[in-house]
Amino acid sequence: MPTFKATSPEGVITEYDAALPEQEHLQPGWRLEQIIIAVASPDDPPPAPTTKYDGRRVLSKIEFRRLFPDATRPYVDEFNATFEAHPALSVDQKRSIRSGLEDYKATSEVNLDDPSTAMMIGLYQALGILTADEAQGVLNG
Amino acid sequence: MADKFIIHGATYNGDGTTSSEAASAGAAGAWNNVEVIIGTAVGYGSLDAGDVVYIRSKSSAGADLTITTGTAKNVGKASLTGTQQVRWILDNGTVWSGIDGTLTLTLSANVTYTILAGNILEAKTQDAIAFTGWASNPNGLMFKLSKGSSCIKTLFDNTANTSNGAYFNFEGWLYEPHIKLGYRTSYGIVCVANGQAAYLVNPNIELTLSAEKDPVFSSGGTGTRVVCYGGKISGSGAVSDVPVAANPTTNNGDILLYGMNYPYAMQLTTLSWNVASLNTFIAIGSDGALGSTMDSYVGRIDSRRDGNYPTCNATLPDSVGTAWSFLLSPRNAQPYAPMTLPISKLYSSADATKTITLELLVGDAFTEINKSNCWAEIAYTDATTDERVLYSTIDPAAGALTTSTTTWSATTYGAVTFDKRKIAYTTPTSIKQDTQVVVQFFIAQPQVTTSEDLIILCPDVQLS
Repeated sequence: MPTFKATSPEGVITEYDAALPEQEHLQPGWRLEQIIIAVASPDDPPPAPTTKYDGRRVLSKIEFRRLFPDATRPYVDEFNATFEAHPALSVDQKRSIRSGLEDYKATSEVNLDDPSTAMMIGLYQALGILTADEAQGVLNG
Repeated sequence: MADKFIIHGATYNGDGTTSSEAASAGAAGAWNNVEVIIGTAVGYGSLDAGDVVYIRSKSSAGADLTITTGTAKNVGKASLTGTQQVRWILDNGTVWSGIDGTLTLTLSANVTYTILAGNILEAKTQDAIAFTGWASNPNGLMFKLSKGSSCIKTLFDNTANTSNGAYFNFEGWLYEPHIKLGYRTSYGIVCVANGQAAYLVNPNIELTLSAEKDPVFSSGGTGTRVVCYGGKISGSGAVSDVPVAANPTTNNGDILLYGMNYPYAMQLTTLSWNVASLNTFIAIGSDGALGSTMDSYVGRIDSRRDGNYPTCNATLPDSVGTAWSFLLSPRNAQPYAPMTLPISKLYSSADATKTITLELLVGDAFTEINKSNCWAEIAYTDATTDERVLYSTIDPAAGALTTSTTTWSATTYGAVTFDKRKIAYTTPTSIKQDTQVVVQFFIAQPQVTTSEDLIILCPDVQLS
């Protein structure tokens, strides 16, 4: 049964289900709408991820730091300060981290779409400093 | 590639191939569900790349069409690639005589309508296709126009929001959009994806809230652009302290407005530019005539006639010869990043040496200005050699600018009092007849007191 919404010339709204609209609502001065409720379907796009900065992808350093959960951020800092002695890291990995941290020092902003950002976040996840959800949360912005 | 038809609410669902209601399910006739536009299967027949889908703008019962959703929805046919397109036309009487209604797609929750790539939505009557709605406290993306998609004469309205804002992310073309903006977050109308562009042709942008101070446009990704051709910004929210353009961060893209009118009280931008930023905001013809504004890291240059700046020799090519000039506000001009303004003049007299003179007003508190940080580079065609030559007036010894006695309409602007100065240079060789003389003006001195350290320049270079 279709749903109709009729707005009178005075602005009074009437909504009702009927096979056909009332004839009065088709008269000049009235606005008649047929309301179609679009229900969820499997083909609907996924909801946009919640972002901290309105979807902005280029962040200041402090904004970037605030993407890390409060409880986790100290562990990230600790890792950055001590990774040279980390037994699980290869020489190549340490070289990459060193370079990544130098890049971070040299720039005033962090681009979340920069592959090196994803690489560092992925590394934190691989080492168990961030959970998968936390890593995705950082990359979502 | 064919014409297809939709009559929402028809008794039977046809195969989409004719504009009449089908006599039975699957028979020749229109599809009976407008939700085909948001991805519902057609049932009979097929929707193919290249199709033009005509939508009757009132249901079979004679009512306007309103689709409401609380879940994110894609609009148009999915998976179009390359040059494939599907055009959706909301008819206004051409196909269905006398039928001129509306199709409103409204949101009842914090979700997004996304027009998929390759889909073109065309309202034959202005605003007859409308995207509206949203619940309270949205602060997010309301509507996205994907790369390769277009909307024609469509209304986008976020004024149902009662707090915070909703923004629009455009990566395609909008022809004659009507955009009503209330609360709009720091984004407003934005192009987010790196390297993409939003093009708005003759947009009618209404700002409805005077209390909302967020920008109208922003360019939110690296290398992005928002470009407007024609159009206007108006409404009760188009007031002072509302920036036309801003970027969420300083290293993003350009905002380019060609012939878009907006009130002088609005500022092109209030952005605090970062030294690393190379992007520029440009508004050409923003005063309804030829007046323009450019803002970048180094500062602002403005020639809007409604700025009412003091004038000297230059006149607009209008019916009354309105006088005009440039106001220069060199916020961060430095030797490594000078503010520069190129001016050209066609030299049409016989070959001759000439004295080229640029008239200036310099704020009397701008005492740091001298010949080492305020100069011109003059290029012309040498009449003897037929080569372009370049001479500079820069004086590393920092001599004082030459005092001028020419007549200006005023030597004050607001609270600022100006000194009359000029840059003059006599060419050592003859200028060739009917060639272009280019005078590139430079300032390499930042403002010390922003409100007073101004320069006004007459763009009519004198050749005597």
